[in-house]
Amino acid sequence: MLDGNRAMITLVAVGGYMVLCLGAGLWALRRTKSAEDFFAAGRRLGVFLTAFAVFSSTMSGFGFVGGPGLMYSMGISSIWILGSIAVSNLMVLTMVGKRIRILAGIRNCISLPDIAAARYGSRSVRGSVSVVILLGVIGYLATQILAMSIVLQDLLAEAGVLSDPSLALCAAISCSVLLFYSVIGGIVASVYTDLVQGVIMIFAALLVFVTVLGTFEGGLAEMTRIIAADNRGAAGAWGTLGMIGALSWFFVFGVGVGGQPHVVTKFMMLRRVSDLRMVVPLGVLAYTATALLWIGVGLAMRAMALSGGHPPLASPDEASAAFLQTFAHPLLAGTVFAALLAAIMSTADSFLNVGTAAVVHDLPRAIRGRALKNELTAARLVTVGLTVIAAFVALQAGDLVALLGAFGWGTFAAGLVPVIAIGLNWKRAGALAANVAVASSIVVNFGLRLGGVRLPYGVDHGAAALAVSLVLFLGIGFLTRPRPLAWDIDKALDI
Amino acid sequence: MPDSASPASPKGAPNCRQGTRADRLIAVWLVSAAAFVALLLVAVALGAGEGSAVPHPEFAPMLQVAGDARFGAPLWAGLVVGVLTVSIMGTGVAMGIVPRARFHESGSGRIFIALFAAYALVLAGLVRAVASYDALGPAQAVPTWGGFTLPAAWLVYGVGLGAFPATALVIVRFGAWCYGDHEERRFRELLALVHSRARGDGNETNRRP
Repeated sequence: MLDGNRAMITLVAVGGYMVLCLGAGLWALRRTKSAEDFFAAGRRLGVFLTAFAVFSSTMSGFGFVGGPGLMYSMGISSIWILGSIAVSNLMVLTMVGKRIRILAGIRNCISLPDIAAARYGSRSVRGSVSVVILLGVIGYLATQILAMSIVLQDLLAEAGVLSDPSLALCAAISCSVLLFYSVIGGIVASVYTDLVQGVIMIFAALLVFVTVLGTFEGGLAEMTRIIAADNRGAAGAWGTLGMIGALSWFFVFGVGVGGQPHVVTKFMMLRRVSDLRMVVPLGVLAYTATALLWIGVGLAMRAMALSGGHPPLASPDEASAAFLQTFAHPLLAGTVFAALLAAIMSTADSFLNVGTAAVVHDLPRAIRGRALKNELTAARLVTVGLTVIAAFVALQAGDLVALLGAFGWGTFAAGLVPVIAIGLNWKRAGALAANVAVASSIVVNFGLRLGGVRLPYGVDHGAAALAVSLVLFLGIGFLTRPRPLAWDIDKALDI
Repeated sequence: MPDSASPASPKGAPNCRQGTRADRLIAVWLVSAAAFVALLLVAVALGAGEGSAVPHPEFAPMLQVAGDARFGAPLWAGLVVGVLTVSIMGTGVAMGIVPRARFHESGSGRIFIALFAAYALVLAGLVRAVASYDALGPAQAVPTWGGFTLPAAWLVYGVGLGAFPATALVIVRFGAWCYGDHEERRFRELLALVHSRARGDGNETNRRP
């Protein structure tokens, strides 16, 4: 009986989740009275809220849809993205988290460009960091909106609620929920929904992994044997991406976490610096749990297709949906679809927040040297505007969405790891080095992708951009005379 | 163009003690990143590494590779790239550790360094397993461990979980290495100083850069 109502159960679960988000928005409205509340949650978040906010923002729809899709199409390769989880978070803990929270405390920073402006004492660095964030945010937001719309379109069609719902209608419905809680509740609503979203994601991922183990007698080892019998390379350590390509993912995803604005800005919101001690390990454990879904579903679907247990997929991104519809209990499938929407929304709301801060808070300061008069009202309007632009890009721009989405992580890594992660630990670097690093991250990443350049051995464009920007930033830092820092920043960097 | 809200007073040269230590660690990043760029430029100049995965003949868009998934790259190059990446990560972690911890002189600091060195050795183990895996004949059965082929098991359990002990050690020693009572006291003092100067300068306390 449950199987007959599978689509309706899923729709009810997703609908329930959306109502929960709306409730969180209404509840957060009373706690959002200033721009500082809107962007930095008044710097009063505890350990669990921050840990889940960081985790949920990172494990986006990519983790639930794109990750299993990569396992399906490329074999083992994408485990190199997951392999760096512990060590990359360790870097974030010691290099970035503490410094960002301390600077946020002494200068009342509410955005990453605020931190950059404080560190370098430069409006141009504030401007360049804002621009790179805005470019990446539009791309990421567009991909998240497109993913939300596709998921909702499938659900509505399968449940028979609408016979042929248009993508634009589904974008309008999902964006309305996202906007409702993001506009009225700001980052407060975002982090509280992140907590719910994170719990759903972990719970769902663990249950799905148990289901995965039961799909083949012999579990993972049998899946591996089937995949290796078809193609040895796909089951080896590098997958089909190849050795150097896989290692370039290890490099850009491992070292690049420290430059992801939607992740590191969360550390500004912590109540106490010492809470970092528990935030990072909790995040690592949560990532590890959800990585099980990424690996398990992807391997199972590849082995299923090869062994004739499931028809081959038309698109790798169908791996999760196909697995859930075929092998998971309807209630679990409903939970996971809600988790999927949760994963996408939690990433989208984080990007919306950092993008809005760049437009409302930072660009006016970088260009005019002063703030807008009513930042909170402007923030709410810009949140709507950014969503509309990103939705338009998602629905109209075709390949540009994929280009901007892929551009995001690598550009943030290449542009912001030197400027933020290193700059907060190395006093020699100045505004020139920071601006050159940001500019090179945009030029190299966009240039390679727009030019359709394929790097040797499948090296990731973002990895190349990160290596180039590191050489430029560090080289300029060593070759130029260090400028004196503002006295409070100088002292803060010594703590 | 200076940020308009940067404090106008008083400024000083960067702290040399911190600078010297950070300079040494940063040099590792510079050398590693420069080595990546150099290797990439050499590969471009030689026209190497043009091979790639191809669509599976029956199950596209699934991909597959002919041969060993190295596309002609020597195994040592993989080891070099992997070890350079781990060295960047290790020095990155070290950069955030406070000088007063006298990290490399303490017992737990040495254990951390040993754990990170062992993490780099995991990559050597992985490369060795890859060599054995690539040497398997087409008729030979593929051995598995923990649900994966041996090289993939090195990746999942070695690279993936190998950094957990070092992470746990940093969490345990967080107060001594990263942020303890000493740092909290300095932070509070700095906050008080910033606020008192802001009041003294006639600025609002709630400054933003």
